[in-house]
Amino acid sequence: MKDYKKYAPLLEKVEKPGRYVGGEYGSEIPNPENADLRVCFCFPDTYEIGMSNLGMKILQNCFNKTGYISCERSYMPWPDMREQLVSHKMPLYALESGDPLNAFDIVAFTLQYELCYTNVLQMLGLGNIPVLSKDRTETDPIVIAGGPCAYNPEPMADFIDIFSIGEGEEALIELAELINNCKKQGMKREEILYKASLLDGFYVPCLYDVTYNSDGTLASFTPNREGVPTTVRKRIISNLDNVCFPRKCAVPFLETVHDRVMLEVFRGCIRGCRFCQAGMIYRPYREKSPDVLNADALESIKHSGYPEISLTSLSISDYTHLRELIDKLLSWTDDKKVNLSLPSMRIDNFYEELLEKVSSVRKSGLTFAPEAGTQRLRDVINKNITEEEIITAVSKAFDGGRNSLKLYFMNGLPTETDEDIKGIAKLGQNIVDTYYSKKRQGGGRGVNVTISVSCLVPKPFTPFQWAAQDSLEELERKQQLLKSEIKTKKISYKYHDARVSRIEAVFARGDRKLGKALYEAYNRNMMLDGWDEYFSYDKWIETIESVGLDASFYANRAFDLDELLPWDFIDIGVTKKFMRLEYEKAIKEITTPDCRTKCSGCGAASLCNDKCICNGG
Amino acid sequence: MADIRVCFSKMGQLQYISHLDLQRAVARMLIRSDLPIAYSEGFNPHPRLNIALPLSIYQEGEREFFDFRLTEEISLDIVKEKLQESAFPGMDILDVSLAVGKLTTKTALWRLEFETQMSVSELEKRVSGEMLVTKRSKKGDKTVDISPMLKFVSAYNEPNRLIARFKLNAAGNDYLNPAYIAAFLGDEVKLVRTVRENIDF
Repeated sequence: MKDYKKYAPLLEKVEKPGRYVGGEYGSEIPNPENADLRVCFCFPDTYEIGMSNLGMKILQNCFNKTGYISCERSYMPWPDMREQLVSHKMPLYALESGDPLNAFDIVAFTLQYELCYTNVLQMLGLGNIPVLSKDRTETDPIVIAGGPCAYNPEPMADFIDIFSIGEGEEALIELAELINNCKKQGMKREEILYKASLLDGFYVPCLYDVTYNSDGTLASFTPNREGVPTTVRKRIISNLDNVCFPRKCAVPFLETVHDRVMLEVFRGCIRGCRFCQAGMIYRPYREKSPDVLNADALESIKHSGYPEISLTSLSISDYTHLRELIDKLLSWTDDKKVNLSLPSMRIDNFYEELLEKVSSVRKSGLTFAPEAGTQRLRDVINKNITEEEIITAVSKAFDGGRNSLKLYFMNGLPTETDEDIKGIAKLGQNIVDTYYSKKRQGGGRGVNVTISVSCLVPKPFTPFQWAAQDSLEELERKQQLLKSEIKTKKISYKYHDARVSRIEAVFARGDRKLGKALYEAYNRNMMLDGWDEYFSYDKWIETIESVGLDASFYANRAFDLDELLPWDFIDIGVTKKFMRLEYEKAIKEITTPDCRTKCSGCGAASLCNDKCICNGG
Repeated sequence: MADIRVCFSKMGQLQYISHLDLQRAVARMLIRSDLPIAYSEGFNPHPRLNIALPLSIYQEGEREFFDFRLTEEISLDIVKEKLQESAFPGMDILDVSLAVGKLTTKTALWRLEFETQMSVSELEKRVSGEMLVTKRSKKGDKTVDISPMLKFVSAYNEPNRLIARFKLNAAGNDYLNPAYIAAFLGDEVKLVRTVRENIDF
């Protein structure tokens, strides 16, 4: 930051001043003050989390590449810095220029998880921008938001002027261009928002009216101005090879969560797990070519000096050119002492071969995600993996000298019984037994199996979007049941705080009425809800009740299959009909094959000229 | 194979970067330079790198040092050029030479800028005798005289300011953080800038 001295008195009072000064290698942007249009991209959580987000890097790069737009960054300050800003009466600022958020034309937020919503409100307030969209005037920035949580934008509708639905690389440039032109013509804010609503992939909440039934469910959702579309269709990038990928990114000084080169191999997922929102909203499945990826990787390493590359996509072993890509990468990574890490692998023969190759550089932890403890329940959620497959893979890993692994499960899945919960403990025990059935001698430390269990949060745009979340008591009972079923010290058992999952469920399936609760939470100084030390369940319940709402209505109610859902006006390609069919099949314990085995006609093909492209190349 | 000593500056907003973070940043800089650098042996190799003397957060350094190893002979001019190209904002590569001996530091020259009405002569008086400060350690607080560990060099006044230079012990087992001088001077001064001007070996 050029003018960091302005903030020196604040910086000397905080624990990690490095979070608030920018100046990282590769973070320079040309002439921020002279750009035609100034954007501040805000990540509503700490610097260390925000700097790990690939999407934000990609979009910042897209803006800055235009030449006439400059895009800076800002992150949620930790309470010590927030206190300094407030007591010095200084606004929250962007890291490149040090200018306050309200000096920008556009302030953009990425909504990665529901518990960051209070941070968005905080950052707006700290940046001297009216928190409520309706209070903003001609001199205030236009506040936009995107990311996975924007697929149900309604709880945030009171605070965001424009939502971007879907992939932003092309759409956001179109929006910025529009705003730039409108501003040049001296157009009023209201008209700019109207024009934006006519662009593909943008939702302007103030242009829609909402009415409710007496039971609180949605009665109608209609545009209140001529020409405003009744449905908003998500945007996708049709050819990932041609879209801009930032090969030169800011390299943070502080240790961030994902402190490495991230290589996005494909978008979408062919698997169709019924609880998974990412698996639906990112359809159709689209790949990048291995040559482009290899060049991206090499250049990214060169420009960053990172000693590690991570392949980041939903189920990496589904990539049709994985072998070719790995071979290309391994042809130079060893030489450059670069580690390759491969998360989210399915277990098959190739995986074993890969383990050997990749372990020549570094062995990463072994994780499996069976998600449910019995085959019956795995069929319900369409997680097509059998216990036999797990045991075979684990057995091979033990033969290869490994002795620790991590298993991920979920509690509170539809149709779940106590038998399914006990099944998790049994599967864990079987893995431990597999280890000891092998004739290995010597004073090893034995085996260590970690079982990590989260609670199902029914998400919009999944087949489980209608399902009720288990009550808090039931989730906690199941957590204790599993605890009592685990009989060996070789298994370490971890579970998520069910109270956090309940609040997530409220906002995940929330409607516009919840804006009042969020605003009340803001007035009560609630923030950083993703952090254990700041999340308060009791405060949340109190806040929600104080505005006359009921958490159970959103979290624990089975939505009627014919109910108008708050997010129904958004078209993600995958149809509601398909999700309903999937939900019905789930209850009947019928699985659906992956997209490569057989197209299930989910509807995503409508986004690419009605041609299903999920078979890869 | 050659051991290279680099003299660099860590100025401006780099004062907010901790020593641990600096080590990681310099390692990445070395990788970016694409010079044939030597790596540590072992399971998880990283560039062989030794930074002379940590700077605390909020301190700047005008002539700091680190050593690294090249696996091939390369002209020092080229090394300097490549390092400067891959350096991060706030770091200048001032000098690149063949390393002689280890990075065993003895003393360091510091410039302390105080916001104060204190005059130079008053300062000289204060630092001429015993200088008792409370040092915190795991065993508890104890009062020590820091005067044997420092030498007053020079000082001058600016409006509302007093800028003073001290030479402080800077050996591994005998290191004085200049913050203690400010602590000794007490409420009369406010330390607003701390710069290590040079390190003696």
